[in-house]
Amino acid sequence: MKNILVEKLSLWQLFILIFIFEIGNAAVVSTGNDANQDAWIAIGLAMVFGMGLALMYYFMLSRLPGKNLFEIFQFCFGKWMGGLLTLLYILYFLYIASRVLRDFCELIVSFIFEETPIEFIAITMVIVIVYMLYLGLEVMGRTSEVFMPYFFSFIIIIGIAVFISGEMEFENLFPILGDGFKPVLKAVFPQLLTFPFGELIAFTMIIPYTSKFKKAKKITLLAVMASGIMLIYNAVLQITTLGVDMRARSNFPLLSSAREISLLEFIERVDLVVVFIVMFGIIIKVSVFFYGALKGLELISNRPYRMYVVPIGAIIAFISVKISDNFAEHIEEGLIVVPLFMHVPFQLLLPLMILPVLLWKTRKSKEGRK
Amino acid sequence: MSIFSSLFTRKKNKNKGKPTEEELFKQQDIPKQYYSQVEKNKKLLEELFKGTFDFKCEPIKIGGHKAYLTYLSTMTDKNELSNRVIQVATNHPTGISFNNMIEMRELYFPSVDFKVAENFHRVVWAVLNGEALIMVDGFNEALSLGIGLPEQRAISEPSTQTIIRGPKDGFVEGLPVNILLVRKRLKNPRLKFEIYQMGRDSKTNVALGYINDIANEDLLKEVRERLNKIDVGALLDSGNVEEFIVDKTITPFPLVYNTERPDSICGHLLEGKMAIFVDGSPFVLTVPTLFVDFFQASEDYYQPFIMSSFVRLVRYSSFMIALLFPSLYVAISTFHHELMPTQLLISVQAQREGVPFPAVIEIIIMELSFEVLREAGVRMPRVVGQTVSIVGALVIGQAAVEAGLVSNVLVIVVAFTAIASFVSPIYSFSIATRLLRFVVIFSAAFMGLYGVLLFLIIMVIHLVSLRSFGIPYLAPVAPFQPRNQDDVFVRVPIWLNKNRPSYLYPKSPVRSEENNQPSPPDQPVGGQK
Repeated sequence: MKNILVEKLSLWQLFILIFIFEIGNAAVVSTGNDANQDAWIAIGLAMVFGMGLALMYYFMLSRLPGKNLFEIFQFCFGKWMGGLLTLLYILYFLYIASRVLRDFCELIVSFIFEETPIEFIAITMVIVIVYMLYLGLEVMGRTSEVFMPYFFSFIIIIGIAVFISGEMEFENLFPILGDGFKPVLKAVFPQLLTFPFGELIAFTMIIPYTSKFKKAKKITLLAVMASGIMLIYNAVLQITTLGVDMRARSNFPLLSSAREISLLEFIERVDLVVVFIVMFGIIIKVSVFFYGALKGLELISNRPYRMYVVPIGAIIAFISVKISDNFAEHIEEGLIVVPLFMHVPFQLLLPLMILPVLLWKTRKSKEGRK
Repeated sequence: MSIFSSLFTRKKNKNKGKPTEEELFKQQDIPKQYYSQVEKNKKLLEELFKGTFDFKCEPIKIGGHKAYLTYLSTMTDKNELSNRVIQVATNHPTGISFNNMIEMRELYFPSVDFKVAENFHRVVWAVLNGEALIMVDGFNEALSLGIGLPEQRAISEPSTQTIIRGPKDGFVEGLPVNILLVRKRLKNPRLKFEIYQMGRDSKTNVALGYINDIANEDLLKEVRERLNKIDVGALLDSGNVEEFIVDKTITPFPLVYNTERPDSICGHLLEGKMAIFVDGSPFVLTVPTLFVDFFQASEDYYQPFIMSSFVRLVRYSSFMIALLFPSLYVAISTFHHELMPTQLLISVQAQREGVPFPAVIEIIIMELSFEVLREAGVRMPRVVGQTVSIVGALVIGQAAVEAGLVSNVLVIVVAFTAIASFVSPIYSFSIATRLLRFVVIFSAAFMGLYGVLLFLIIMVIHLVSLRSFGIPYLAPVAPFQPRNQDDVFVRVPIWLNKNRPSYLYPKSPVRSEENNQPSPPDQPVGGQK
């Protein structure tokens, strides 16, 4: 086991990773459309539930400090059953990673390089991700530290710039809760809760490797809250700029809103800034899922995960291209099929099923130690 | 300090303790045995230095003993030799007798710097260092007298890192003078210099300087270990040492800092870094090195802090300009016309009309010719300097535009990039930007701004993965250390900068405890009320 390096993340790096991860593609694709002008309330509600989910994940991890989710599986169900569960999660992580990557490819292909084949974007992105993961988790943490200030300030600046350009109409936000709570709840469950907040499940593979595990709980909650607030800001920006209908119809509402910016007749078309935000968000998001899958493979095969980075990266690029024929299909799967049939079982049901077993087992082992 | 343990286990040191001096000439098959019969030694020496016109081995008599005075006439000071050695010896052909070399030296040469050479390697070493060697018959040691000729360039202003305000002296080629320049500034008994001899053929003196109660012990051990590991034919400059001690060789970024300025070396030593002096090189290295070091000039600390903070921000932005400006031009003018405001787009396109090349070819031609010009400017004899600059400015600037080969805007882009690339205070860092610029240009030519972003992200990933002696290269930015931000992008006033950077794990982390912020006197001056 000598080559399997234990890498450590600092709390600040964990915060940044969660923050960027949550905003990642959620900021660009249109979410919470069911709630119409109240999408931002739905996001806020989902954020609260998301913090609950994060608490649950943290609670599971804290029963066996230093072990990640897959090691907990093995602890609870033995080598074979645990291995099977791990394998399922690996497939889930890889699938989601490919989906996230596809989001970005679609964005580039439909907005910037209309004639570039989608494979090209997927492969170039995967090369970056593979390079980063090959160098390890610490490098991922530090890279996100470098880009965080830009990531953060660009999102803020877009809002301010749209506001100064006079494109915001706050009437679009009214009436607040005009149709009652029902549409909001419908938007929260299952869509907004699972995407982006439930996807925190991937961090069960990372949180155990933070340098101060005890404080990770607070940091995780803070990060979820911060990213939730950022998403609310983002939703308000989109709704006020585009209006409810335009936002629902637009594939990438943040990009469409940013195109409204026109300052001093010089700063126009700041698409690049949005693309940067998305690109970095996507890189982090894919990497986190990818890393989770790699860690699972490491556990199953007992070999350092660096061995798998290149082949699995190639698979992710392949799946992300082949996953659907066109953007409409991709989005429909993403909004209807995936949340119900993939996110809910893997983010909610399975952990909830595992939790009692875990509690029972750890209670037994704690008594045994006494 | 887990990062150290993982790093330091990787190498096993073969020769512990003082490495080379005892085994100086082992690889060259020179015997080590020194005989008490002086004739034998003389024969061995003459054999070794056969065919050298400046080797002298003259018989003298000291205190009734038969002896030989051996030296290289080109390397010793003739006056010193005749006044202080030969005359003394010949004045007392049958003087007082002595029992060992130290006694002899006390009797005859009390005012001369000396060393006792107890084996043959040391004897050869002394002769090669320009010392006068006295081998007396019947003793199994020789005495070497330090009367070498201190022939070197006078201390002058550094040619690479010029500043407006601050000390103007720079390092020279001689190791003792360089150490003197540092010692004069730091009067501290804890300032240590360890000496190493490196290079099978050159036996170059290399000194490792550090302040004992500041520098981290683990780091020091690692530096020593890496220095001990060096096995090389010859060391001709500190650049040779640099290549042996870096953590990673395949990177465009310099992982070792070099400077000609003694004040800058002192600043680094005081932070807890180590300095490596190489005899024969005016460039002194400091390790560990961080990315941010290359944006700090020593003048920053002599000018008002607001001004130097601003200048530092200018440096960071010109790094980005030097790296990205040409590629942004390529990307925008090839792929993303819509990003330019209409007026600007029209004027740029109007200029480009009639230019027969695509933007990327245009910029590669110009960048390449600029590189050629720059290289010629560095290498050419000073006398023909004017010719090159006139030809360069006229041909590459004006004539190329007038002939319609390149557009005017492009000349502006290339010129601005070139100027920005000279802003970095350390030359070896601007080389990195120079090289990477071409990579981004190609990346932008193929993939537009997406390519530029891809490149940037890959570059940052590469940068954060680098380490210098185990310290993350991008510290204190990534990993982010809020405490160490006082001297990175901006410089806080010196009275506020009380702590040494903690990423170097200094033994004493505090520079000064007191709150010594200057303030006006409490009482009005002159007693008015």
